[in-house]
Amino acid sequence: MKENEHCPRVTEIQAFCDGEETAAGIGQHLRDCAKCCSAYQDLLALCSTADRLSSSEVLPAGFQDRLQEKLEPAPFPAGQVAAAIFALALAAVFVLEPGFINWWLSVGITLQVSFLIDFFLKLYYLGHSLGPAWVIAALSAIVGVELAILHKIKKVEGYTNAC
Amino acid sequence: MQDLFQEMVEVYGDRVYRLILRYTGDRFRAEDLTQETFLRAYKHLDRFDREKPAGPWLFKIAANLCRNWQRGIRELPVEDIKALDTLPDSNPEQACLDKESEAELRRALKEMPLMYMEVLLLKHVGELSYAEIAETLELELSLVKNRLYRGRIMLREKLEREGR
Ligand SMILES: [Zn+2]
Repeated sequence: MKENEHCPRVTEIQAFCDGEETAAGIGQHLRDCAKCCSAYQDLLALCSTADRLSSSEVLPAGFQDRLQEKLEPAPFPAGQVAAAIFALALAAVFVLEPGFINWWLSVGITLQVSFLIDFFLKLYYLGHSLGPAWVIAALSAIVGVELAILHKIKKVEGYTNAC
Repeated sequence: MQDLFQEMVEVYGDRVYRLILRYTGDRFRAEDLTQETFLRAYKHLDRFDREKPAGPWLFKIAANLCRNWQRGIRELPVEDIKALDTLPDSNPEQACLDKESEAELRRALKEMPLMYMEVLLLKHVGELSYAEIAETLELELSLVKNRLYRGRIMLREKLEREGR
């Protein structure tokens, strides 16, 4: 094939050099056409020069580990944070409230109150399971105790008033 | 999901790093930007079409990061050829020649318009096909061919001028 109007464009010859898909028969044309053959040789040299850009560099050692660390951030240190808050609260009790022992005692009182509530609840449930005679007897006993207490208070108040 | 990402790092990690290293000329910056490329890829992995090769998608992220980095600096450190400082080379004479060659390349690249430089780097460093370059840079295939041809001519001219 001689030089003719069917000569491929230079970018087509370049595509052939780069191993890209090209029109069928371009290889044969390059062998037969002196002008295109020369362009092809020039393009091979051009590609070879540009190939100086390629390199054999590889990722730095430890790259994947460092990447993995960034992908999985360290878990939230819940334990340490809770311990720090507790320590701060404890320090605050000492620093901000000089009467912290009184505060601690109030916790003891709270414990006693909860014990009383528990006791009355037990009595309530007991009342449900006892017969009426037992309930009347228990109430009579409570009334008796109450009368005794009132009598005692009256005696104490009478003594106080006398003073 | 994790397997797909791992595969991306293994297949494209080196090439992405090389491309960014050519772009920035700085090993630390290159590692930093390569990490950022893969972190962004991981973050948006659900947007990736598994039917397609990951190359264009990853190189698009890398190219955007490089452009942003380029905007942030006025001057490319062309004389800074520490990129080759740690290359293992038993022959000091060869190492010296390599350094000089590297410096020439960096100066030539620096003088090139970005649109030609990017196509050249994607072809010769990223080892992408024309279609993949077109997808990465969102260009017509004919434009990729033209830019590649002009880019190669430009690079040769600049290197010849450097060699004088
Ligand atoms: Zn021809």
